[in-house]
Parts: sequence; C-alpha cells; structure tokens
Amino acid sequence: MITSKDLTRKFGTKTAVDGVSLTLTPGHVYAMLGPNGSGKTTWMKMAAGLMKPTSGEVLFEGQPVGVESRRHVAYMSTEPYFYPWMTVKDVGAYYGDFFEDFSAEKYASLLREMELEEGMKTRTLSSGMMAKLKIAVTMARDARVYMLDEPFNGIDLLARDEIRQSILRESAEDKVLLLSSHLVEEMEAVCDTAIFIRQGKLIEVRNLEEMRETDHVSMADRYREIYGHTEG
Amino acid sequence: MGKLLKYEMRKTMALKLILLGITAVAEVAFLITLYLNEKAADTLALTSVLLFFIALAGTVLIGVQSVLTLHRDMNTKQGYMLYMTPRNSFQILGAKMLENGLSLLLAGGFFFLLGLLDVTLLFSKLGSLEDLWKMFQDFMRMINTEIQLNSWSVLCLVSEMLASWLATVSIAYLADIVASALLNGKKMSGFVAFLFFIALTGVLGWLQNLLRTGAAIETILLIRAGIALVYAGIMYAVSAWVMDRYLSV
Repeated sequence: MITSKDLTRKFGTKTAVDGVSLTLTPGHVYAMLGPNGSGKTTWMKMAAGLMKPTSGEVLFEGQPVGVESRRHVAYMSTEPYFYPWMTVKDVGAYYGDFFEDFSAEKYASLLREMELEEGMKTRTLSSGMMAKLKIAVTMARDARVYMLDEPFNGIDLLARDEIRQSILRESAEDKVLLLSSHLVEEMEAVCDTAIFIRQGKLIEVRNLEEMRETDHVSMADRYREIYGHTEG
Repeated sequence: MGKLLKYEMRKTMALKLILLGITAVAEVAFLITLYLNEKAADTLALTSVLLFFIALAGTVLIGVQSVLTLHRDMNTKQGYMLYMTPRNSFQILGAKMLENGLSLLLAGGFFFLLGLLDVTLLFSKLGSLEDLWKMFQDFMRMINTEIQLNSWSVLCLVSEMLASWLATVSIAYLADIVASALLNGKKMSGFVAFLFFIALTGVLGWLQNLLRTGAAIETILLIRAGIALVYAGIMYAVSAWVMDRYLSV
C-alpha cells in the first residue's frame, strides 16, 4: 500500500534517511524502531507528504504521495501541532471539515475514554493530555494507513493501555498501522512486524512471530542485538 | 477552498477585533469632541489624525499579519494542520491570498466609508472652517500631488493603495516561501529573501511608473491598481508552484 523506493533525505551534510526501500502492506501493524536520530520521523513525514525527499520517492497505491494520499493516510506527529486558539472541540471540527473519513461520534467516544473535555483549550493541555488528544483525533478517522510517531510519549501506564486498545481496534485486513516508539516492550504487544532503522539506513524488516519461532528472540532482544553497541 | 478560507479568517480574527475596538474608541472620542465639546479644536484634530492613522496602520497590519501567519504555517509544527489536509499548495496559498485580499477590501471599504461619514459630519458641523478644508486638501496632496479631494478620486486612490499593498504582500509571500522552501537552513537565507523582496517590489514600482500618459489621475490610479493585481496574481502562481514542489514542513 505504501512503498518507499531508494528514499533519501539530507539536511545539509547530514543524511537522515539513506536509500530506504520499504513496502508496508495492509493487514499488518508495524513497529518502526531505532534510536534517536535514526530517521524514523523523517521517513514518516515523507510518507505523509509533509516533507520532500532529496531523492527517491514514496508511493501510495502506486502513485506519489500528495493530495490524494492525504485523504487516506492519518499521520500523528510526535510534536503538538494544533493551532493555539483551538479547543478540543475545534480540533474535531477541523478534522471533520477536511477529512471525509473522520467520525465525530468516534471522536466523542475516544474523548470520553481519554477523559478529555470538549471545552478544554489546547494551549493549556498538559503533555499527557495533548498526547491523548492527538491519538483521539487521529484514530477517529477511518483511514487506510495510520502512522503514529511516538504515540506513547508522555502518557501514563493506564492511558497507554487505552491507547493500545484503540490502536488494536483499528487493525484490520485492509489497513496499515505504523508506530514508532522507544518503548519497545509496549510495541511488542501491539505490532506484528518490526522495521529496524539505524543511522538512516534500513537494517531489516522482521515478522515478530517468525522471529520468535526461528531465532528464539523477542523484538526487545533483537533491538538490543542491533543497537546495543551504538546506544551504550 | 471555502473551508481553508474559514480557518484563515479565524487565524486573523483577533487582530481585526482589536483594530475594530480601537477604531470604535477613537470614533466615539471624535464624535464626543465634535458634538459635546466643539471648542476643543486640538482634541478634534487629534482624534481625526488618530482615526486616519488607525486606518493606515490597520490596513498595513492586516497585510503584515498575513505574511507572519504564512511564515508560522511553514516554519512551525502548526503547519502540519494545513499541509496534512488533502489540499494542494495552490488552494492553500489561494485561501491565504483571498483572505488577505478580502480583509484589505473590507478594511479599506470600512475605513473609507467611516472617513467619508466623519468628514461629512465634520463639515456639516463646522462647515465655515475653510482653514480645516485647506488643511485636509494639503494633507491629501502630501499623499499624491495631483489628487483632487472628491469621493471618486479618493476611492481611486484607496483602490490603488489597497491593490499595491496586496501586491506587496504577495511579494512578501514569495520571498518567505523561497526562504522557507529553497533556502531553508542556509546561511543568510533571511537576508537573501529580503533582497529578493526589495528587487521584486522595485520591479512592481517600475512597472507602475511606466505609465506616463496625459490621462486623468483617476484613470492612471486605476491602471496602476490593475497592474498591481496582475502582478499579485503572478506572484501567487510562482509562490504556489515553489511551495508545491519544494516546501517541507
């Protein structure tokens, strides 16, 4: 559904993503893993059509990402991005105005689950509440692809359980879910495939079940094997 | 584009409400002085000048705010709100330009009508004051030496000023987009963009000044306004193309 072909993005002399070729197919929940600065966020931003590659391309159903793919791809940035004048209700109204797949009912239900009130101003939300709001508004879409960058950041244990449930509810045969996080153990409970990236390069893509059966290692073990010497 | 326009209007609403509030206070002060304290000529002059200043500064600020909003949308995370929507750069920038054009038109029209009303009230109340009339004409000549003080010529002058300001704002859009999309992260990008802005503003001025005919000043002003609008259209097309092709947020 989403394919990156020899995708490269440079910032001055630094190469953030280095020739990554990768295909995400429907019916899978992917974990994109790697230490800080490994290129996960940059890859996601290019796949969301927010960032232009230096070379290579990202395709959504065979077409370069752009206006059409944005109708079907729900991207959640790790940083807060709502307009400061918005209330929680305004955020939902905004998504409703621009995304046909947005459900106001689902949004209201997710807000209740996350204990967020519609009248809350986004600029006054704590980092945890902001993280919940980002999840609620993104998952209220019936998108074909969900890309969540660090969805568990700044969220307490109970809220993480709620988020994990809302993510799992969306996993389906015709959908792609891609999550990035440093909380590898959290991800292992949600994802079925791991994408390991280091210094902008794709290391490997592994099916977790197969990895457990053949190599007898968990995703966290494999993470330690790959990054152990680089992360100290 | 309607929904984009709605949110562009919302982003700039605070400044407009502030301007409206300040104008209302100045207008009330003007009317109180005119009708309840007619001997206070100094206060009357002060409130008149204040209203004129608010009209000019307000119109300028509306344009400046539009450029700042675009800058924020390209250089802060809030830009995701705009660029993750299924809208292309021509629609996104078109909504911004349309919002700015409409705001300038509404603000210009509002201040023009308010000025017309205040001048009418002033002369109906103090019609014998020829010095005041002369002072007003002198002031108009300061803006344009050939303009005559009547509603039509003032309307032409206001139209030319608004169109030229809209073109200037569109040049600022392009300069900022070039800085954010093509020169992002490069040294002196702001300075290069500023030089680019100055050069393109110079070209607009040069084009508008090419017109040296014996036509009436009102005609010349309207043609200058037309040139400014066409120029703004070209700036918009080039800006949206650069944004579409090169901008990363």
